[in-house]
Amino acid sequence: MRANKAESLARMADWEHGLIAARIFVDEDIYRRETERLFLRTWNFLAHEDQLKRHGDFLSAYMGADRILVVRQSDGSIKALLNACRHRGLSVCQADFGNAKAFVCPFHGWTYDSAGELKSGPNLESCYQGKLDKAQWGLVAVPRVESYKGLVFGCFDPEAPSLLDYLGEMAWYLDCLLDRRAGGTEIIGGVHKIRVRGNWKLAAEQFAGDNYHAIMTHVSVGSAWADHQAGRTASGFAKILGQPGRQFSSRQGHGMAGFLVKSSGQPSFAGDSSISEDQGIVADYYKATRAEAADRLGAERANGPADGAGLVFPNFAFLSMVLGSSTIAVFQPKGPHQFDHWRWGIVDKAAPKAVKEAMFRCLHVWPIGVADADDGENWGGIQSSLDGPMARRLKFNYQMGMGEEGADSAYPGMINPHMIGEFPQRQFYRRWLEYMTSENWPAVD
Amino acid sequence: MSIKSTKVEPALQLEIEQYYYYEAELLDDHRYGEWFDLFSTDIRYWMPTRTNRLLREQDKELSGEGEFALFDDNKKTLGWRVKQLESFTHWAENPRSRTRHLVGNVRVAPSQYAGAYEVKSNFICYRNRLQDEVDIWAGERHDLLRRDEEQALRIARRKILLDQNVVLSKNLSVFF
Ligand code: FES
Ligand SMILES: [Fe+2]
Repeated sequence: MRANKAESLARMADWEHGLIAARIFVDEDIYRRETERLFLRTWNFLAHEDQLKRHGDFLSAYMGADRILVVRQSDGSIKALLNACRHRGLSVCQADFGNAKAFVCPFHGWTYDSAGELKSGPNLESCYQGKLDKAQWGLVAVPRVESYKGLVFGCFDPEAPSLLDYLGEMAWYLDCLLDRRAGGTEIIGGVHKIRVRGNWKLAAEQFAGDNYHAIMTHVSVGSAWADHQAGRTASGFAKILGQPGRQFSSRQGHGMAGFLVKSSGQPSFAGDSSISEDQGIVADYYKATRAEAADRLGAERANGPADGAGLVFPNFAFLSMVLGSSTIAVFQPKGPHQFDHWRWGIVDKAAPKAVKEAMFRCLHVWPIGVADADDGENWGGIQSSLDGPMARRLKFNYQMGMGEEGADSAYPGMINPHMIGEFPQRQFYRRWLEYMTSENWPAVD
Repeated sequence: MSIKSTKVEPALQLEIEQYYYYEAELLDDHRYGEWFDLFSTDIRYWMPTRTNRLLREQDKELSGEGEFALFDDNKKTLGWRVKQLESFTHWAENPRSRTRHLVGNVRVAPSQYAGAYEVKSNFICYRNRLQDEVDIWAGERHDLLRRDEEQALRIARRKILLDQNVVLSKNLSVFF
């Protein structure tokens, strides 16, 4: 039985031949299996350290389908707690974020401190005749919480490698976003949360590898800007994406959808003053700080992979220095047919106020903006056409650029030597399959 | 802006209500360019996010200045959205959604600026899209309406409170 399931999953995620079955995007059982086998084993993004400044600062997050409270402790460390009361399971905190000394369950009043320990409850001693061992009944703590340059991740699996090993070569690319300047990054206040019709993997694989979609899906971004620069038309993205570039992927399933290989200091995606003054300010800022970035990261990273989309497997995404801003995102699965897209703006802490404000104003492009509405429309359209049994039997073509990949002396990881391709997506599903079919944490050699 | 139950000239109340009905008609008829012209050049079209807070922190429910908002547009960036809607390749609105904007509870108060009014109104917007997709949005708008040289009303500021935490529609490719 078990072997059959593994075989059928392998047939569905036939990454070696670049054939991925429609069913993995719509099947209820596969989704359930993902919540267990994938999200209970992977490192999941929880927060940016900057969001939890003081003792008792907390925010609500998810690890797959489970609700999590992320809390700054009195010793400065960060804990992640399952947001479910140990008595009957009610969430002990319904706020998105805030500061609290204790979490009080509204059902019977069990009260937990910010470390998740059960401290008190109405008549707790007398009702349990003194037999309740409070030490045994604290909130379930996520056993592993680690940070990489400000980004906090949690993992339920004791067998998983450290966050740093899990990120592997991806860390080299993440540094372009997180470590360009001394002091690291901070989050612009607030978060976008939007429920998207579509399987979460559609968004994840897009950030991992699908630059290709921008040409058609986002044509209308060019139309929106058309009269600000004569000739800025539908072909805008096609032109940028037609330049020499690379795609990165790792055996852990992470990917960079594509980054330019160029010698000039100014990243081509970062901003364009002919579109708006704000984009110009941001582009100038990157130019002005390029030397510092090159000092810290080396010339390759200051020039190349600093701008573009990327994915930390399975569902943490970033868009670094694109069209005037940088953002990070999580795609929270909500069943096979929808996910919640959470998105934050992220900036260099050391950036001048005027630059931060310009970046902030450029965020209108994203979640609710001129770009993302069309992603949501297309993902939703996929989900409705996959209602039909014939459509569900389709195998999708993930064969673009097959066999092109290899090593590249300038860039760590496995590299597709083109700006556009589907190599990272194939690696994403290769890794997905390993999690879905292995009994233990799927080690890679 | 605090609005008590105030006496309003019936003619002014009527004028503003009619103005909003006209605005709703422009949106529902997809006459985005004409709608865009209702806004002054210094418009801020702002929809902060709504968060769930501990009750004692309820006053911080809205995302603040300089924080992520669902919309935070000036005339130029609002114009981008209009141009995008007018293009044939904005897939979120191709084919067009059917919308119906209902505006009510219009509360008019004098503004600190001469010839201007602080107006709160409530809205329900129904969207039906493709075969069977339905979204319903409810919320409140806080407008600063100002008369231009020709005495025509212009929207000089609009703050929109959408009554949702997670935005439950796959996009906000409509205006409110
Ligand atoms: S469910 Fe929390 S105290 Fe009973
Ligand atoms: Fe996109």
